[in-house]
Amino acid sequence: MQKHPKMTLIFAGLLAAAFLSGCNDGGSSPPLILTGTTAQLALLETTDLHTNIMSYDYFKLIEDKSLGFERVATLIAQARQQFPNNLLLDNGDTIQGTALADYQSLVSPIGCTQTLAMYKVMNNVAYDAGNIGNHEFNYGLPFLSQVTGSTLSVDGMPEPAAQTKCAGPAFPQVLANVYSAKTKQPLFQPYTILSKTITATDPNGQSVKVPLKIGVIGFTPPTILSWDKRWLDGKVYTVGVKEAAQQFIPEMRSKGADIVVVLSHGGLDDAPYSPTMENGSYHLSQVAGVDAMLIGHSHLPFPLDAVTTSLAAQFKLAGVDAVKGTVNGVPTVMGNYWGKDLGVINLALSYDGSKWVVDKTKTTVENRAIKNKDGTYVAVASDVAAAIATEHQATINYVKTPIGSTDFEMSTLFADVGDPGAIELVNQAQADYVARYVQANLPQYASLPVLSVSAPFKSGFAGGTDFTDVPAGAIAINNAGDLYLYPNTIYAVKVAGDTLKSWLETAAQRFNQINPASTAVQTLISTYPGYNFDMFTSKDISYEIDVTQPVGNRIKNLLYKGAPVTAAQQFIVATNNYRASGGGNFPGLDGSKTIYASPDANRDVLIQYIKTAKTITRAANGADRSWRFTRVTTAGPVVFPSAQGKLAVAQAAGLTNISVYQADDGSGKGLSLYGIDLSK
Amino acid sequence: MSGRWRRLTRPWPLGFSLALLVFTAVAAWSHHETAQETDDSVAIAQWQTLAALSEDNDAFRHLLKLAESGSSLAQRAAGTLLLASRQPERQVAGQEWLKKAADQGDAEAAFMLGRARFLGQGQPLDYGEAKHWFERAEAHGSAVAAYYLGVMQRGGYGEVADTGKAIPWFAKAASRDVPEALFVMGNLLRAGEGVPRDWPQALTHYRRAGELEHPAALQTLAMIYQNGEMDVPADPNQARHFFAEAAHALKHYQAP
Repeated sequence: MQKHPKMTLIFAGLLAAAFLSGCNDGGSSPPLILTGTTAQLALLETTDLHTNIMSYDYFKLIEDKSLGFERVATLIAQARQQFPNNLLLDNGDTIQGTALADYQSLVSPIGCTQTLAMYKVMNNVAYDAGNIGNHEFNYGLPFLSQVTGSTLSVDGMPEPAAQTKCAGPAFPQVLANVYSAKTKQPLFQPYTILSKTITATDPNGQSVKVPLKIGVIGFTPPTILSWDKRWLDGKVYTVGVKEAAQQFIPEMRSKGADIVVVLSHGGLDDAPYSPTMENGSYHLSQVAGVDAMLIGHSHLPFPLDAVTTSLAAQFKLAGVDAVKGTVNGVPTVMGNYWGKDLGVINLALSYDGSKWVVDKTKTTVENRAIKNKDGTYVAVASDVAAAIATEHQATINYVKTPIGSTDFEMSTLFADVGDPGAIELVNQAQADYVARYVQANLPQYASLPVLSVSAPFKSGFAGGTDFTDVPAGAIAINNAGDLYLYPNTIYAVKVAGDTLKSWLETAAQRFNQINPASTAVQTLISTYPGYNFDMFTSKDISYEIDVTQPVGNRIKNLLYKGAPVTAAQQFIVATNNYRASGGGNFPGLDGSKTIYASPDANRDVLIQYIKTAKTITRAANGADRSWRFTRVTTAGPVVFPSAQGKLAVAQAAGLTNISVYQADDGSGKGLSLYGIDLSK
Repeated sequence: MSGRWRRLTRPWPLGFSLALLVFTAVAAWSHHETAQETDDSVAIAQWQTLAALSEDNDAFRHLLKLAESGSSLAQRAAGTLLLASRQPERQVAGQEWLKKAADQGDAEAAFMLGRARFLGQGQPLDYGEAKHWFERAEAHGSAVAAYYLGVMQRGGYGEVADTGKAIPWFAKAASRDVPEALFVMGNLLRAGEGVPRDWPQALTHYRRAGELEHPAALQTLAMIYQNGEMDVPADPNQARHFFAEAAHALKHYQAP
């Protein structure tokens, strides 16, 4: 420490010191800062919150302590206590990701005077600035404009002057690499310069208040242009993150930014730089003038402990110190996702006589998890739940809201032996959706038949309660989640008859090979997962499964509208992204057959179909069996497991060849063994 | 470079013609220095982004000019833009540009050409042509072309289906982090199809594909944890985690 530090006058004048504490905007009374003055500034980062406000699972309607802003808020309060000089920054992917987010955007879109629940709780803890992530674009530009309190100037929206500025975040949002095609200007302000008065220590050890200007600039993956093409096509364009940084950072400096903090919604990728690359943070770290980086998008914590680091390939790059938290020497943090962590960079600053510089040797970077080392979780900040109690309850009510009704119990209890009761509705919704898309958009395929497959996703693996089982009566959103378990999007594939047959042959691995001559008890169901037992449920297509035959030779009498399906006959089949891209390892389903990769979720399409149909009936939506077992008389009993006490469900489905073989199968999982008479 | 960049990002149309002039001049004496090529690739990628805003605009015409002057990067960019059109004649024109770029050794252009012929974009599919271009692309370093060569070999597209022969292609692409290749290798190792069954290796492949946000791999991991498959103990928390990650990844997945 210097004994007689040189005084640096930003503006000469003896009286300047008198104004020191009150001045923070670089106005007419600038302060004195002694060379050698030091300060700590903590940068607190949340990223990829995805509207996980409560520690709550809206699909299961139960608490989930492993995530949630209400717990991160506790970490924020603690960090602010610990670091009086701090900035709280959010790195985007904020407004999308839970049923609450969908409720406020799609189901019951909030009005102009309302603030999104997510922004509401962020306002309450007084964020200093936020970035725009790629998922902010998921609901389209008008919605983004509204909820961010912006008046975006883009094609398809009124002139900004004619727009009402709606309620939104009470903190500035920045984004430097997305431009409006209409104005050729950045869609949002590219950066902001925050003026703070911080507590520093002068070279004499005295605590002093000094002004500090922090420039905050934001970046999002340029790949939004393809990911959200349906909203963005022709309306916005991106520029490379590096070029945008090289343009704006000097501008920020010239406007007085003492330090520059990059909010980069992207991970680390040391591939050669391209202005369209998804994860540009590595290259951003090499742009002159970057003092610290808050990164995101990859749903990982950075830095990591030494053990975890060895598992994260993304961080094994030259110039990246994943334990210290530096990228090419720049202090860098990624605060995980879904409100699991708070990222903390404790920047050590020192004043060199003309400017503030970051002392990298004294700067520390860490991730603070809501999960404690002993496996417990930090307590919630109770004011978070209180602030959005109405929105939270509305979402729960929405999830429980009837969207239609059914006159029969829709279950997968006997799907393995022919009850289409929980599957036909899914197939109808998928086929209807794809057929309409093909008619409107793919005229070259308009003459092809559109079929649909689905499977009993829940088929008793974990026991008697592990079945789809929607009782007769009202159908709610969460029932639709039971009818369509997986987070899939609809895909349509174009396949030939031979691929169709091998698809069904693969699915028929669900069954063991039955020896008709054996007098022993034979179990019908193999270990092949039920979720891969794809089936048609349509009057148009029919086939038999001959379980006496080996795998690959079981599908018999495959007919389309009564005529044998030929190897070359073309079909469109509605399915999901998992199957179409090779999930389950079905022959020929290698991604190359996809003619439509819809952005819409199968579950949402099902919900819409139920809303339109209103009344679901056994006759119309649960009775079309496309397949049956090839009839065979067996010398001994053939059995399969299902939930206990459910024979009536089989009978109601018209399965007259089922009986109770053993009321308790002895597994302790609530299962019975049922017998099936394959001769009927 | 930053000066040129500013011109590029300036509002059109004023800045546009300026940029065009400067850029054309620069492009004319490029193609030898590595730094210059990097610079070109950045600028051309940006022109491509601007050109994609509408079917026909100044940026697109500019790229065409560069393409005509022989820039393989511009040829690839113009070809890519045209191929993305819905009009078959534009798709075919796009393939002509890709061919020119590929003939100059551009691996990405050769790959896109291979895929266009494999899927029959703009004209009837041609497996022989597709394989030719995938091989060219692979020879010039395209990992995703190796994946497609595996797909063709395994699926018997224009050749006899042979998973065993497809494995080296898939493995090569997987070693270079092509998510689809990692996923299919996971499936093959799990099933013991074309390779000896190896569940730990299958899991390693699924996990890496999952890290790269391959939705079907994430869903596969979720199912494995949900049901305790492949000797992995059932873990509902892990299952929920991977289902949520699969849902998230689907919002930004594009098949190669």
